[in-house]
Amino acid sequence: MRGERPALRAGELLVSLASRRLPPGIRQERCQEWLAELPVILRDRDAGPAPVRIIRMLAFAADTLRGTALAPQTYHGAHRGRSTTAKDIRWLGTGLLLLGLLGLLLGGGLFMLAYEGSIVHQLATAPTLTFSVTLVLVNLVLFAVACIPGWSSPGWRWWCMSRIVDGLGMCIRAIAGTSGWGHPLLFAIISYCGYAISLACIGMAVIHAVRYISRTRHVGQGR
Amino acid sequence: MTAPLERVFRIFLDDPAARRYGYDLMKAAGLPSGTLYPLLGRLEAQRLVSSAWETPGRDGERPRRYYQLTGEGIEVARLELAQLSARRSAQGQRGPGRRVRPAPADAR
Repeated sequence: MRGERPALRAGELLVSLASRRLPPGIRQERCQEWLAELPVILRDRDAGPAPVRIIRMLAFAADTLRGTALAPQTYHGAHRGRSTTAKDIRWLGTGLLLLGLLGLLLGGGLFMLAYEGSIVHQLATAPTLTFSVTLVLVNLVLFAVACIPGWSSPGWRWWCMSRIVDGLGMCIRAIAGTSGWGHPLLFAIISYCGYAISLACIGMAVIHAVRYISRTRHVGQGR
Repeated sequence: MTAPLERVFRIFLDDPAARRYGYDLMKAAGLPSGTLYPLLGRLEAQRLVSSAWETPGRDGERPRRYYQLTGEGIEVARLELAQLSARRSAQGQRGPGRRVRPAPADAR
């Protein structure tokens, strides 16, 4: 499965953090037990497509961390007992951490929306050279990362390519605008063409993503 | 008895001879790992559940820990679940209970 190794590493990291909070007598045993469950969850085809399984595996690992952070002694057979101030603070801390993670996810989504919005805004008004060059350079770096064998993903490559084409179109328009070359409308049309090509590239990225999901489902059903 | 414990007991009692690993129990009981494993730890400390490490058939897979109710565990689980269902049926016969409403102010 693509992305299995990095996801497993992340899960193993969470489990090792969780087991560090346990009493020394049971630490090693529990850690081994949880580490053995991670690949089982990742390969559990009944759980759904690959991204869902990765999320389940990470949720499993994260919840072991929650369990050990809140009440490490219960793993040794002790009852949770009454609520204490220290325990309440731990609950609050863990809740805030989970809220922070949720906020990070939402923030990431909003950032992506804002990113697209800013591109369209720059395109509609006169694009600045700084914005266009940054767009091209950042996406060139991302494209290079997408070409690394372990991280290779056609959908991601198409997406980066779309942004590069888009950035190049805006770059040409910005340079022409500052230098006073030719008719501004011509370069505006060039930048709009760049955006149209970038939309086609995004379409290819979406097709690859859909194919990937359907292939994973097909493999899951064919078991 | 807590709701997670009830679920775990029911799953074990579905087939008392079956040995189950943690993820299997999690899926069947719908419990998160942070709830299930402390529960199993408590049951094991009370000798109601026993565990054993087993290597799965496939090469390269890590040994997994399987859990099973002990003889005492089966008895206790059956007893606890029977008591729970008796309590529930008694509550069901009594009904939700009548509430005595305060009389309206103008009726006094």
